[in-house]
This record gives sequence, C-alpha cells and structure tokens, in this order.
Amino acid sequence: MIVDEIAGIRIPDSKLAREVTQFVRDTESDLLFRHSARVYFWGAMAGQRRGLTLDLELFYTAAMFHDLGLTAGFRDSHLRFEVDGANAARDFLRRHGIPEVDVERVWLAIALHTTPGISRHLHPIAALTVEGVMMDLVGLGYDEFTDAQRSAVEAALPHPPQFAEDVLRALYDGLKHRPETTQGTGLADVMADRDPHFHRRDFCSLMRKSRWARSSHDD
Amino acid sequence: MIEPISGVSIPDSKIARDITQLVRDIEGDLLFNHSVRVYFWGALTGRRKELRFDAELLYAAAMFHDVGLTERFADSRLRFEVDGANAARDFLRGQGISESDIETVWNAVALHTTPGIAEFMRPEIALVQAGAGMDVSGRGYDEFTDAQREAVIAAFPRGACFEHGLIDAFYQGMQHRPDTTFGTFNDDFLAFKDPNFRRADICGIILASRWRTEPMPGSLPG
Repeated sequence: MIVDEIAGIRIPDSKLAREVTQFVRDTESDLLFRHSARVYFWGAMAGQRRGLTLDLELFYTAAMFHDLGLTAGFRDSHLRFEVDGANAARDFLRRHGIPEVDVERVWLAIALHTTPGISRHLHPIAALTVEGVMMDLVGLGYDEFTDAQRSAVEAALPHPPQFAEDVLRALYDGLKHRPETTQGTGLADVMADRDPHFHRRDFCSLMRKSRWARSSHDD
Repeated sequence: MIEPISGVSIPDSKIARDITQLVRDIEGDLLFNHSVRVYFWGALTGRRKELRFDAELLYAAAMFHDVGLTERFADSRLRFEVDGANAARDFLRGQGISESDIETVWNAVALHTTPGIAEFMRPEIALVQAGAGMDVSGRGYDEFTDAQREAVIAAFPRGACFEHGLIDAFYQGMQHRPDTTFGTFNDDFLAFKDPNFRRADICGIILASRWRTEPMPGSLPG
C-alpha cells in the first residue's frame, strides 16, 4: 500500500491484508485501487465515530474487493459486477481459512454495495462499505468527517481531477458487455448515459406485457 | 385448507396459521392472494430444482414480502422492503425461531426487488424472489405446468387487472417516500402513476458531487 495509516486509521498489519493489497494492486487500475483504499478509510473512520465493533481485516477485504468485478478478468461474465467482486472476495477468504460466517458477511457487503437502503440495516461490514463508497463517490456524509480527516485522506490518496468522469467510464467499461445486469438497478443510468442504444427497462410495461397479461387476453 | 399442488401445501403449523391471520388482517385481497401465490411459485420452483428449503420460513417470507406497502407504514421513510423485513423479524422473534433463520427471512423480504443477487443466497431468499418474479412479471412462466398454474390461480385468484391493481398498491405504498425508490426499479411505479415524478439519475449525482463543488484539500494552492 502507498500508505499504512491515515488520521489514526491503520490498514491491518497482517499477511492477509498485505495479500489483499497486492492482489487488488495487480488487478485494478490506479483509479479503482485508490478509490477502494479511500473507501476503507472513510468506512473505518465512520465506524470509529459511531463506536462500532469491526473486524478491520474483513472490512479491508470488502472495501478493496468491492469494485473488482469491473476489471478485465470479468469481461465474459454475465453476472452483476457486484456479484463477481463478492465471489472473488469469497474465494480469496476461503483460501485463507476464514470462517464461513465471516466470508458471507464480506460477500453480502460487496454484493449489495450499489443497492440503496438495505446495507445500513445489516452487519457493520456491509453498512460501512456502502457508507465509504457513497462518501467517496458523491460526498454523502461529507460533513460528518472532520476537515483533518478529509485533508489527510486527500493528501495521501487524492481524488484525481476528473474522478467523476473516470469512475463513470470505469463502470461503463465493466458493464457494457452485460447491460442486462443493470436493469432495475442504479447502474442502468450509467448505461443510458453512455450507450444511445441502451433501453432502460420499465417495470410497469414489463408487468403489463408479461405472460400473465398475454394469457389473460387469450382467454 | 386447499389440496396440495404438486406436493406443495401451506405448512400446517401454528406459526403458519398465525402468519396467515396476521397478514389477512392487514392486507387487502390483492396483496394477500399475491403473497400466497408467491409462496406456491417459490415452493414449486424449489421442488423442481430439488433445493432444500424450510417451507415455514419460505411461507413467512412470502407472506410478509409486501406488508411494507400497507397503511401501517404510511409514515415510514425506509424502503418498503425493509419495513416488511422488520415486521417479519418482529413476528418471528416471539416464536422460538433461531436468529440465523430470522436473518434468512429478513434478507428474503428485504432483497425481493433487488435483481441478480438473491439467486446466489439461501434457497428461501432465492425462492421468494423467484416466486415474486413469476407472479408479477411471469418470469419462469413456462417452467410451471399448466396444471400447476391453473391450480394456484384457482385457489388464489389474480382477479381482473391484477397488474394495474399491483401498480396502484406500489404507488400507494411508496408515494410518501419517493426517495426510497432511487436506484431501484420501484421508481417506475411512481413515474407511471405521477407525471410530475422525476427519476433521480445516478450519473448526474456523481457528476454533481460535493467533491467537485468543494475545493479538495489536496488541490489547494500552496
């Protein structure tokens, strides 16, 4: 890692954490790698602020793997990119002999990191992953961090100048071969923004044109 | 009590009977019958795929899955799925069910509208979503036999214009909390019913983020 500690929050000093860092460093672009590291720091800071008990090694794994499904190794996948990342983290943690209950928590945290309004009711690993992601992407919860915390994270792992555009491009690059996996999720907006041929599915028309509706007309 | 349908019946237990009564008392016919059908589609799918699932937990999750749309939650600002999940949890905690099983039911209800995730989770979670998909949009329609479909519909009728009735129920249950539909397909129901509703766009939100409007500490001059 470029940095081991920011504003009193440390990256766990363990073999597992070092392997997470190395693996994600080797697999992701600098943009996603640094975004993921910031997600760890924002999430860990939020957890500390609220006095949550958190296994930092597991949380580090969730934060670092959360966007792994966007990388080149998944260009043939037709699962949601969130599930690809969750599965990659699960495989990694199982190889390290982590108990299944903890593996499941990390899996769910990554799988649900783009699903609004659910994770905050789950285990802190899931809640803080979404919180870190939303802080880093759109500044949600910005004012709950101190100036000192924000400055320290930005000094160590700065958002690049075109961060928003770069993230949207990284999302599109990871999704364009599987647009169907974005239907009914927030990521459909990314597809609609970048691909003029993408057609957002409307759930009401899906219902009204379903086999049920057709079969009742046949009667 | 109806005849079993391809070996599937509603669990014959006190918990299941209490759930039926509770949901019967708070939901109208449309949501109640829909929920029972979701149980049957889910359980039939589970048998067809030879999954091991707990019929009572599946029944609990199916029956509570839309409870969050009812008037009881007219002041809630949570997602309706979470309201239903919490209601199921509150009910089951008094019934001697293990926390792990309660968590399964909670997840099944909370995630029933989230695409592409539930199918990789425990069978009860996957089957509630599969059952809801079948009943609402005909997903997997052809994997059921004509006899199965006819038996379920005869026992728990869809009624005329089920689709519009359900869209109305969604709208009634969410119009006071439109923000909770962001990033889900639930905003389609609001857009369908309310011409003034504007969907939030995630790209616009990322591009307008605080990070771009505040000076970044790292980029301050000097």
